[in-house]
Amino acid sequence: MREERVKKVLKTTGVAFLLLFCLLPFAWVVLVSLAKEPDFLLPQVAFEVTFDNYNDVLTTGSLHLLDYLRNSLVVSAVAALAATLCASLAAYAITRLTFPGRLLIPLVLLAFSMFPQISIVGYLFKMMIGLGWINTYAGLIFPYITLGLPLALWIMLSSFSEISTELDRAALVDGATRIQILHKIILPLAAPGALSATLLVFIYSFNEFLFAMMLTTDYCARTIPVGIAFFEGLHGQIPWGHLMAVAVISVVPVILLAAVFQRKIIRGLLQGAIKG
Amino acid sequence: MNAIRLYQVKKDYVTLRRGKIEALKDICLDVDPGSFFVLLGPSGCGKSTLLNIIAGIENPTAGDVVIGDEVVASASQRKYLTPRRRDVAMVFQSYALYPHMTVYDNIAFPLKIAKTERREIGRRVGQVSEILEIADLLEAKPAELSGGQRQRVALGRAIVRKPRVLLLDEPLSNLDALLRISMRAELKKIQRRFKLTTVYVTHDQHEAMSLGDRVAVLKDGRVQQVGTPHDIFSDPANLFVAQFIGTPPMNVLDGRMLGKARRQLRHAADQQDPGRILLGVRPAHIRVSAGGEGLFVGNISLISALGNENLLYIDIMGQEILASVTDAGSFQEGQTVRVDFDETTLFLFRKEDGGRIR
Repeated sequence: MREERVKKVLKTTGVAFLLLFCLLPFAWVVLVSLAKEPDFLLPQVAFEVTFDNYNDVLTTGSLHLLDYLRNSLVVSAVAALAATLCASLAAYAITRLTFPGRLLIPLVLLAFSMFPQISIVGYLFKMMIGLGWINTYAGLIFPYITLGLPLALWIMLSSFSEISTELDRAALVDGATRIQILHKIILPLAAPGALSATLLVFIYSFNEFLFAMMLTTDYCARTIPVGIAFFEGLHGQIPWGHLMAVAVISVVPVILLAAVFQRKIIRGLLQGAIKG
Repeated sequence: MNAIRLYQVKKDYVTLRRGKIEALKDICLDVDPGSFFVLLGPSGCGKSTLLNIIAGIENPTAGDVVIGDEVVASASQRKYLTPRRRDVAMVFQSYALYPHMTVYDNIAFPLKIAKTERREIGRRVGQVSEILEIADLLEAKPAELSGGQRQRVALGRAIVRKPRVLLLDEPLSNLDALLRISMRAELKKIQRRFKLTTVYVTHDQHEAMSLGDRVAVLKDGRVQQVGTPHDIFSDPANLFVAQFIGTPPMNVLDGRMLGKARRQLRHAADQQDPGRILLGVRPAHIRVSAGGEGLFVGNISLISALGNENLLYIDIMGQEILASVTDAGSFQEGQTVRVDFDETTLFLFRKEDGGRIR
């Protein structure tokens, strides 16, 4: 009985500490974004709640906050869907067909994904200038697909290899083509894996900073992390209240996605680890 | 109705670890149109590979496959039709139902792929589900079905588009024993009803004997014998077939044939080295008596009662033979008995390769 209680107390404190550790900075951000005098909530200044900061950043067109947000959503969504599509084609081939070197591909991709991003950014910049893709969606989407592909491929590989190849044989005999099999049989069955791959690549692209900073110049393609970093505010000095309001707004889409799909993400990631 | 002809079909696999493996060696088989043909053999004999080659899931290394009057696979012409073009249907051991689809969608799948008109799909799925008695399950998902029901759905999916050839890969081995026997009969009825040319793969001799119009026994990628179930049982081509078919299995006695026996047996075994003969006799053909006449004297080491028959394990000079008798009342374990058999029921095999001496 005593042991149970001790365990419970330990567990609760542990969880509380973790939550506090992770969420305190975020709570601070939210508080600052709501404060009338946002200068780090000095104790001598009374805390007054206001939504002016949100109102300012959302309604002032010259800040381009909504542009950044839209850019981020479009670029991340397209990159995530494209990466998952590529990854599912590759994963189908690797798990279903026999060809030389098929086990090498995921490993090589994994090795590439370990390159520090900064090591390729210089060349990438030159390439994008050559293509004329600086400050365009395409200039961000393609690098993001490349960055997200190894992650997506490995997730798709583990969920595809869970599915019996006897289903493929059955569908082949039933007259389906390989593409039909992928589309009608394998992908529906691997939906949790595909969903978690898409969401993870989305979140990764949404948060990506370095490439976005190097490859964009203004609100036409600039994404929200860079937007926040380069945020100038309305009045010259560092506008902490506005900055924090932007930060809170930019987190909303990701939190929504995670909240809606968290069960499925976890299920997708556990495929291969746990049967059923 | 379509015949299937396999002509000198070979299949090699090349693996890194074990090098080249010859899974099938020179298979020549003829399946008559509308007949039920069984490929029987122990696991690893290549029977499933052969079925996959007929289906078009795998390609032969050499040889031709003909369905009807169309060459569907020919290694020499490098022509391999896709399963889609062959119009064959297959039922798998694991049933391979699509787990995310309802029973209706599972059965309708091949028709949808073939872009059949919707009304026609509904009609044919309805008809098939009536025949297979699964009409009330059409809305269920495979996970909600019992093994027997899944089996029916898999069969329904196979026959719904009236294929030229029906291929069955150990379809009953995941069912429990009773269900297996009833499904066996049903399968045969359905095959008769649609006059489907059927190739059935199994390792179970009872299935092979009860279902097959003709049976091919395979071992190590080679056809050992092709014939009616009766032929294969009563006139086995070699030792392997003789031992593989029949329960309880045939007794094989290793011994020397002496001059006296050679004169008594009508078999022309004179050319053989007398010491290198194997003698096969089915347990049912062995006469056991408590006393009196008999070729051998042995000791009953075990009596095993199976209900309709009793198996006697008899030790004769260190070799154990199995006798099947209907009445074991007069015998007890440890008893010394006389053992005898008719020479007409004997099979003789060469010891070096198991070939039959006729």
